[in-house]
Amino acid sequence: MSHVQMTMKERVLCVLKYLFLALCVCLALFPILWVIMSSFKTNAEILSNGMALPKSFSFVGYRDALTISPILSYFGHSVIITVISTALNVLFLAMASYVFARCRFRGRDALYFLLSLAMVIPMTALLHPVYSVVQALGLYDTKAVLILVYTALNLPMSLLILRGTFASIPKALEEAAYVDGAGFVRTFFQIMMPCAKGDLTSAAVLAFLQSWNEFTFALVLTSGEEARTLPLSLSYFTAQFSFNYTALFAAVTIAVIPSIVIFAVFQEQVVSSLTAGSVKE
Amino acid sequence: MASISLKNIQKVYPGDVKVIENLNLEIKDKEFIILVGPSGCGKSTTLRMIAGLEEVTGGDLYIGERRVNDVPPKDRDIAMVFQNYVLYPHMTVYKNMAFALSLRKVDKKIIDQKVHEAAKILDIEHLLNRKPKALSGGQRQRVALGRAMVRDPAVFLLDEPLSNLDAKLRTQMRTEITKLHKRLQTTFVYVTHDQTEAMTMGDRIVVMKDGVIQQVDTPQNLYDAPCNMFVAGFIGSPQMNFVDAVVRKQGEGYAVTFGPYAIPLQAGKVENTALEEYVGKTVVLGIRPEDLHTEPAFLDASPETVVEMHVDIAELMGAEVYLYGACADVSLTVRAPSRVQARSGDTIRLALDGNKLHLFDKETEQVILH
Repeated sequence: MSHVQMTMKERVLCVLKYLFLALCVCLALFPILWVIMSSFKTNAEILSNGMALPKSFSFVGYRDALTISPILSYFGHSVIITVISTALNVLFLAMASYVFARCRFRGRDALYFLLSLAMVIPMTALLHPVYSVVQALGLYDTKAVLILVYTALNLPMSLLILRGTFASIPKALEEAAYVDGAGFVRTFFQIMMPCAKGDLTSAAVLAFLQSWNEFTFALVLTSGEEARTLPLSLSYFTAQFSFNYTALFAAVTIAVIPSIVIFAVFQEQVVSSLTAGSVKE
Repeated sequence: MASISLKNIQKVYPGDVKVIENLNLEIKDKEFIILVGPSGCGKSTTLRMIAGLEEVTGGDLYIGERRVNDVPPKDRDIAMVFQNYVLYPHMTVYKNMAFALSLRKVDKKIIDQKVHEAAKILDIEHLLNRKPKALSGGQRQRVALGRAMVRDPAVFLLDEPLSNLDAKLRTQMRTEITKLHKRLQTTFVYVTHDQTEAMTMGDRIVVMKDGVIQQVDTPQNLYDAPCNMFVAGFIGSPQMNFVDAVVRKQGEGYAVTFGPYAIPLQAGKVENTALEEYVGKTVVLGIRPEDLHTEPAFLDASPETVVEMHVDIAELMGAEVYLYGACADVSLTVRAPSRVQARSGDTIRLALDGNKLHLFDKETEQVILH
């Protein structure tokens, strides 16, 4: 009897668990689904009943988004800036992490602590000093400045992931490479980098997402049409066409799709990297 | 092919931790030499210094005629097989084996030929396209050997290469490595803590303890004539019996006494030793378990060396039986043929083989005679 009661209780608990998880998924997905759905509605539909399903699928919003605003060129800037800054970030941070993980030198731990400290500094606190430096260097309103800033902004997270990665790769692997005839640099690129491929990918994905979605620095450090990135095109939309919600939602959809695709493809590696070391394997 | 010469080698780690002190060793060209000793004795450190993976703190290290103290590993013309195989996980077996040659810009056809040759010898040709994670421990070890073989190095360094394999595979690989040495005719330096590997594989064995070489000799000499109690106890399984005994004059000769027993020393054994100075002093009598005989022929032939032992435990090993017990309050181990029927609780008679006795100085633990 008690066994049956327990089973019932377990079933109820199981159902509740699923309900709770379903609720979480809905809460997380609802805003993005609502935006995507609304991008196919007409402006009148959105204004009359925001929650209703579209009566017919209209691509007017997308046409407006592409014709009215320079969204395509902003998209191009975003791709250039994000891809280059991500590549630089991963390359330099992999090298730095390898040295932090393997080489002993005076002040190593202090330096690592200092670099990690950057993670706790609020981004807004960095705005003014970075702006001053950029102005002084004459880099204001260029793609290069955003590439540099994004490379640096993602430094602590990449360092955190990759230092642990290189520290966990057996030292004997490098020694085998040295005996085989490889030098320090070749060992790093031909042996250590491929061994760290999984975590390099996750560091790259996180850096990509961060850079792709970054808004504040892009707004402060650029002014013209030459270097502005995709998130800024959205602010441009709200300012100029605040009544044209369809176009705004279409632009948002265009902006978030690359992030979603990238994360969906690499999510397993990202999650495993972020939880690495938390459970003994 | 090359000889290796270690002259007054020292290794000191930060914090003044001395691991190797004044090590001198000459390894001949094409020799198979074994470095053996307990954990922490410095055998792996010595090997790693030869490889160039550890800096030499003091002394001179020569490979062939060249002093290599400051030569990086890649320029020493050595190949090394590691304890944990250490294959490159992202490369196929073929690429693992070809890596060193491709770094040296060897022609691709020659690389291909060498890799296939080595793979054929090691019977891993069918594995060439696999990644290391798809291989068993034994296969990985073969690949590691193959990776070293294709290089045709002057010196082969092997750091406990069989310690991660199961007992059966270890025995098999032991034979294969010995065959490999015969085939390649290269200098092999092999580190192990397993004395069976040491005894069966090497031309000479270097026994180390606390960073100091205890003895360098052929396996047989090391077994028959250990230079001190450490070597005597380390080489041989079950290990040599050690009994505190007092040296006495007995007529024209000498005897060692313990408990109620006085074991005469054979005249030939004491001729060249300064045994006189030990008369009346306690020394350590060493005798290997197989030199304690239970057979009536031995008991009748040398009644003066017969002692009695109370058997505590009898371990039947198949072909032989190990008898553990006490004789005059001293623990003894006897290795007897399995036909010996003695069991736990029995008292048996044993004849010590007078030719196989060893005497050690109790203070210095150095050998007095063997």
